[in-house]
Amino acid sequence: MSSSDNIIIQEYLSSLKEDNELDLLFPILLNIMGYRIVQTAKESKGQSQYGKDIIAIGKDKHGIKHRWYFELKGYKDRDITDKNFGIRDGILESIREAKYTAFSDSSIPEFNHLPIKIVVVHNGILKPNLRPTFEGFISAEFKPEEFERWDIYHLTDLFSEFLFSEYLLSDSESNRLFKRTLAFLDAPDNDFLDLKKLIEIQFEKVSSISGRAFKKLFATLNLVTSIIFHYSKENDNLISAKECSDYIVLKTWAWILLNKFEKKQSVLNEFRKILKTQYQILNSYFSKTFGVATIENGLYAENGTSFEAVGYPLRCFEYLSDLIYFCNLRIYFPDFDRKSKAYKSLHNFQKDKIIELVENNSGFFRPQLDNHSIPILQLFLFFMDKTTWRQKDINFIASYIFGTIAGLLVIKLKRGRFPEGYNRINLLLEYVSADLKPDEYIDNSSILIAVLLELLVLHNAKDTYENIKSHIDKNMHLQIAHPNIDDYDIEQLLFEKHMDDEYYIEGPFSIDDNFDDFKKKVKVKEYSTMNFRTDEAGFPFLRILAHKYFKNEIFPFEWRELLNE
Amino acid sequence: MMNKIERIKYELEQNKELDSSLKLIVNYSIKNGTLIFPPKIDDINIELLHSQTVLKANRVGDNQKFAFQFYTKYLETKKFDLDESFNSYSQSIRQIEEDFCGEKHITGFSNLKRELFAIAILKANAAYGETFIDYIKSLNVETCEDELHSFFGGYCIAVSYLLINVETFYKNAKHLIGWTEKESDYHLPQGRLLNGIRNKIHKDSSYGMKCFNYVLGLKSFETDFLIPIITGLYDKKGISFYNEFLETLILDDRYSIPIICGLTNIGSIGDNEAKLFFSIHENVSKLNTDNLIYSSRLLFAILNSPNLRTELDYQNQCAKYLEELVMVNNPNLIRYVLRESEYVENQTNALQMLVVKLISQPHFQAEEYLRLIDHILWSSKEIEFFKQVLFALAENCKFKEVAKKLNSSIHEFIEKQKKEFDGLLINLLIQNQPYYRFVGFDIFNSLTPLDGCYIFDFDILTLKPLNQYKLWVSVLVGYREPKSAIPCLLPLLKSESPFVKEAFICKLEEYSENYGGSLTEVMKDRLDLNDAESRMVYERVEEYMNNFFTDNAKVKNDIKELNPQYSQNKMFKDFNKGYARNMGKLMQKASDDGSSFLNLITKVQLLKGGGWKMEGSEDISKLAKISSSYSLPRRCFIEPEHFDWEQSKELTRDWDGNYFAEIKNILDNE
Repeated sequence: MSSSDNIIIQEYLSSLKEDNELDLLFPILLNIMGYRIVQTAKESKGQSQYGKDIIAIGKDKHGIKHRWYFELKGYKDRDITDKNFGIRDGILESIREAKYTAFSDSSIPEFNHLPIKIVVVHNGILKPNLRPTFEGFISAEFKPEEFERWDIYHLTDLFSEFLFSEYLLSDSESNRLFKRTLAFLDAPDNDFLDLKKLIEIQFEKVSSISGRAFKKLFATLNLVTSIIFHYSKENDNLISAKECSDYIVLKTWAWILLNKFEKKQSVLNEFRKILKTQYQILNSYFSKTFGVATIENGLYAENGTSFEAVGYPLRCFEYLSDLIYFCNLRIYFPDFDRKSKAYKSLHNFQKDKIIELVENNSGFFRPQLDNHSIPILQLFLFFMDKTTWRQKDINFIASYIFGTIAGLLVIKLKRGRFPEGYNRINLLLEYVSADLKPDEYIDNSSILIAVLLELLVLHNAKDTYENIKSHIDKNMHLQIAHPNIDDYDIEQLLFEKHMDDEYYIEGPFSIDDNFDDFKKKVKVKEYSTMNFRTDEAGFPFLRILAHKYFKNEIFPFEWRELLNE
Repeated sequence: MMNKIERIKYELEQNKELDSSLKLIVNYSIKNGTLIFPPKIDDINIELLHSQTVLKANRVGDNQKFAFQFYTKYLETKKFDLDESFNSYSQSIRQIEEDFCGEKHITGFSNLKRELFAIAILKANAAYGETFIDYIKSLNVETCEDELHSFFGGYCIAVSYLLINVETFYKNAKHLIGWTEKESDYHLPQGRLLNGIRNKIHKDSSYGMKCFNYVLGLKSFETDFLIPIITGLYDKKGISFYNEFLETLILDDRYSIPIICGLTNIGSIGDNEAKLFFSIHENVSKLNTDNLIYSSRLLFAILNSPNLRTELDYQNQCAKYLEELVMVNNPNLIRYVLRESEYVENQTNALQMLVVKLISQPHFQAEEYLRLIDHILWSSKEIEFFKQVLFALAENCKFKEVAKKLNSSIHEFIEKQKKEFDGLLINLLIQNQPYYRFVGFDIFNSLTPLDGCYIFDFDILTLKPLNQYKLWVSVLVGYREPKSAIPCLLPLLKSESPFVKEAFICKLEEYSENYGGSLTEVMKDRLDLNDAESRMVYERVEEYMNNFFTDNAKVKNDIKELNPQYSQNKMFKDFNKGYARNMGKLMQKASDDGSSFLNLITKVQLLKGGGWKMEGSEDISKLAKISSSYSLPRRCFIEPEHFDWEQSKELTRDWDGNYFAEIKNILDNE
C-alpha cells in the first residue's frame, strides 16, 4: 500500500467524531482482528460504564487472552493534551475509572477471570508537552502489559493492515474507484457508478464463505458504507450515504441469494451488520429531515419556484418510499432477526407519523409518473397489516386514495396530462416547463390508474369510480404488470436490476362502465403468489427496498390477496 | 353654362389684386421648388392669399385657383405640344413634375397634381372634346399607378363640368367604378367619384334624366352608377321624382338597391322622406330579406337627418325597426346596424336598448360585435347604458372576457365619470351571481397596470358592511399581487364594522403567507404609519408574516437533502432551462404583438451572466431574480394545478342562498 493510501486512511480516521463514528467503526476493526465483542459503545452510552466504551475478549501480541476495555476518545478529545487530561471527567479520570470499576459478565464463563487490558483509543496524538506526565501516570498506575494507547498512527496501521489492504486499496482499479467515490461523493446527481463498480469488484474477489477473506469482505462493505456516511455528514448531505447504502445492501443480498447463502447464519450475521449501518444512516437522514417534512408542505422547496410543480411531488414520493423502508427496517431493529416485541405500538406510531407527513404535504396527492404506483402501493400495504389495523388507518388510506385520484384528475383537467407511462422524467419536465405536450409523451396507458381503480374496490368507492370514469377516455389503456415467474428468477432479478422484459402485461383494458361489474371482475382476477427466500430468511422488508430502488412495479398478489380477503 | 375653368378665369379677372398675388406666389413656388411659404414674402400680399383661402397656414389651401395659375404659368414658359390626345396633357403634367420636383419629394405636390389633372381634363375636354374613354382604357395600375391615381382624383373634381355624351359618361363611370371595386389593388375612393356624378346630375337634371333613362334601357347596368343619379335627381326634383319614376321601379329587384342607396344619400330628409323611407323599409323587408342591410340605411338616414333629430316618434320608430333587424341572425346586417348606430348623434334610450336586446339574443357573438358595441358606448357616454350593457353581457356571455374589447369605452368613462364608473365596477364585484363578478373582475384586472394598482374614486366605506366584506372577498379571490390588489381595499381598515376590519386583517395575514414581504411593502407604502391604528395593523401583519416564514420556510434553508439544487440538480437545471426558453418565447410573442410593455423597455445585453450592480446599490442583482417582473403566490408553486382549479371554482361560485349567512348574522349583531 502506498504512502498516499495511508494518508487517505489517516485523514479519514482523524476526522471521526466519537459519538457516532469511531464507535461505529472501531468494532468493525476489532471484529476483523479476531476480538469477541461483549459490549459496544452504543450499548454503554447513557449508562455509566466508567471508561469502558467497548468491552471485548481477545489475545494480545503474545497470544495471551485478555478482557479488553477500550476507552474511545475522538473529535475534540482526539488529541490528548494538558487541557483534557487532568480535568474533571477528563482522560485521566476515565482511565482510572476503567481500572477501578469492575465489569463482570458471568454469561461468558472465562470472562471474569481473564487479565484486564485497558486501551485508550484516540484518533489523534499525545501532545509532546504532556508525554512525561502521561507516561509517568501510566507507569504509576499500570504494569506494562495492562495498558495500551492506540493513537492515529497505530489505528492507521491497523485499519490499513486488516481492512483496506485486502480489498479497497489492494488493486489499482479498486484504489482508483474508491478514491473517485470519495472525491465525487457530493457531486450533484451523482449516479455512484464508481462505487457500484468498486463493490462489484470486491464481490468478484470472494471465492468462498469460509475463512477470513469472506469476513473481511463484509467488514469492507460495512467500512465503505461507514466512510461514505462519514463524508456525507461532513458534506452536510446524507443523500449519498442513503443511496450508497441502499445499493450495497441490495447488492449484498443479491449476492447472498445468488450463492444460496440465505440460510447460512454466519453470512446473515455479517449481513446484519451492514443493515445496522444502513439503519444508522436512515435514522440520521430522517432525524434531520422529518421534523421539517411534517410541517405544512414541509417537503416543498422554497427555492424551487416553478420546478416545484414536478419537483415537489417527485420528492414526496421518493421520501415516502424511503420512509416506509426505514419504518420496516426499524421494526426489525436492532438485531434484524425478528420483529420488535413492541411491534403493534411501534407500527401504530409509525403509521401516525406517516399520516402526519402525508396530510401535511399536498405533493403526495399528485403522482407525476406512472411508477408512482410503487410508493402508493407500499403505503397502502404498510397500512393494511391486519394485526395492527385501526379505523383511522382505514380512513386515512381511503382518503389518500380518493385524494390521489382527485389530484390526478385536477392535473388532467387543468394541464391536460396524466402521468407519463414510460416514466420518462425528461418528457415530464419538458411538458411542465413549456406547458406543451411533447409528441413522445405517453399518457394514454397507465398501470397507476389501473391499480388505483382496483384499490377502490376495497373501499367500495362507487362515487369515486364514477367520477374518474367520467374523465378517462375510452382509449385509455389500463394495464397491470405481472412478474413472469415461469421464465425468470424474479426474486433474484428483483434485487439486481430494473425489470422490463421480466414483466408481462395483463390487459390492456378500458375502464368498465359499471362499478359493480368491475368489482366482480377484480375479485376473480388471477395472480400468481410467490414464496420469497428473502422472507424465509427473515428479511421481508428488503423487498420494499428493492422495489423502491430499482423502480420495479409491485407484484399484483400483494394487493389482490387483500382484495380477496 | 360656364365651365369651371372659365369660372376661375372670370373670378381672377374680377379680382386683379388676387390674380397678381397668385401669379407672384406661383412664381415664388416654382422658383423655390416649394408649396410651403414663409409668413412674409416681399411684394406678395400673403394676407390676401390667406383671406381668399388660396393659402392656409402657409400652405396651398385653394388648390384649384393655385393649380390653374400654376399650370398656366408652365404653359407660358414651357412649350408643351398639346393636341387632341389626352396623353399630351398627361405628358405635360409629367414634365411639370420633373421640372418642379426633380428627384425631391415636395410636400403637397400630390394634391396639386390631382388639381393639375382636373385643369388638364377640363382644358382637353373644352379644347378638343376629349371624352377620355381611350385614355382611361390605356391606364394600368401596374405600369402607371401614380398617373392613374392623379387622373382619377382629377376626373372626380372635373366630372361635373365635363361636356360628354351620356353613353361615354356611363362607360367612363363604369370603368372607374370597376377600379374602385378592386380596392386592394387600386385604393381609390369610390365615394368621391359618385359624389362628382351626383353633382353633375344635380347641376343638369335633364342630362340626369337622360342618364337615368339610358340606364333603364340597358339589360344589365352598373348598379353603383345609378345611385348618384337617383340622389342627384331626387335632390333636384323632390318626392315627385320618386312618385313618378321610382315607386314602381323599386319593386323590381334590379333597381331596388340602387334606388334605396340613392335615396339614403339625399341632402335633405324631412317628414315626407321619413314617411317614404318607413314605407319603403316595410315593403322591401317583406319582399326580400337580402335587401335588409340596404333598407336599414334608410332608417339611419332618418336618424341622422338634422331636420328630424328632435322628432322622438321618428327616432323610436327607427329604433323599433332596427331592433327587429338585429333579432335576425344576420351578422353582416347586425355589424352594419351597430356600426351606423355609433355615428347617430342623438342616441335615444330606444336605440340603446336595441344594443342590450341584441346582446340577449342567442345568436349574439361577443367576438363579432363587442368592438362595435364599444364604439357605441364610447360615443354615448351614458353610464346607465354602460351598466345595462355590462349586466347583459354578464348574463348572456357567461364567464367570457369582455374588458379588452370594451377598452375604449371603459377608458372614456374612467376619464369623464370615474366615480360613477367605479360605483358600477364595485357593484359588479359584489354581486352574488358569479358571472357578474366575473365581468367586474375582468374589468378590474384590465385596469390594473402591470406595475401598479387601480384605486377606486368611489368611497367603499359607504357600502354596507356585508358589501364591504364581499368586496375584499371578490377582489382577492384571484390572489393577484399585493401591489395590484391590496391598495384599493386598504380603506376597509377604517371600516365602522369591527368584524369587516378584523376579517380583512386576517385575510392580509393569510395573503402574507403567499407574498411575504411584497405585501408588507405595499402596506408600508400605502398606509399612514403615523396613524396609530394603521401602524398596529401593519406591525401585526408583519409579525405574522415573519413568524410564518420562520416556521415554514427558513427551517428548510440548511437541509440540502430537501433542496432540489442538491437532490434533484439535473432535473432542476433542465426544467429551468426549458422554463426560461418557454418564458422567452412568451415574452417574444407578447412583444411581437405590439402592445406589450416590453416595447417600452430599453433592452440591455449583459455580457456576463452573474448579475449587475447599479451605482449606489449595495447588492448585486442576480439575473434569475429579474427574469420576471411579477410575483406569484407561494401556493401557486406548491400546487399549481390545484391552485388554478380552486381559482376557477371560486370565480364561478354562486353566493346565493346561505353563502354569507354566517357573516350576515355576525354583522347584524354588531
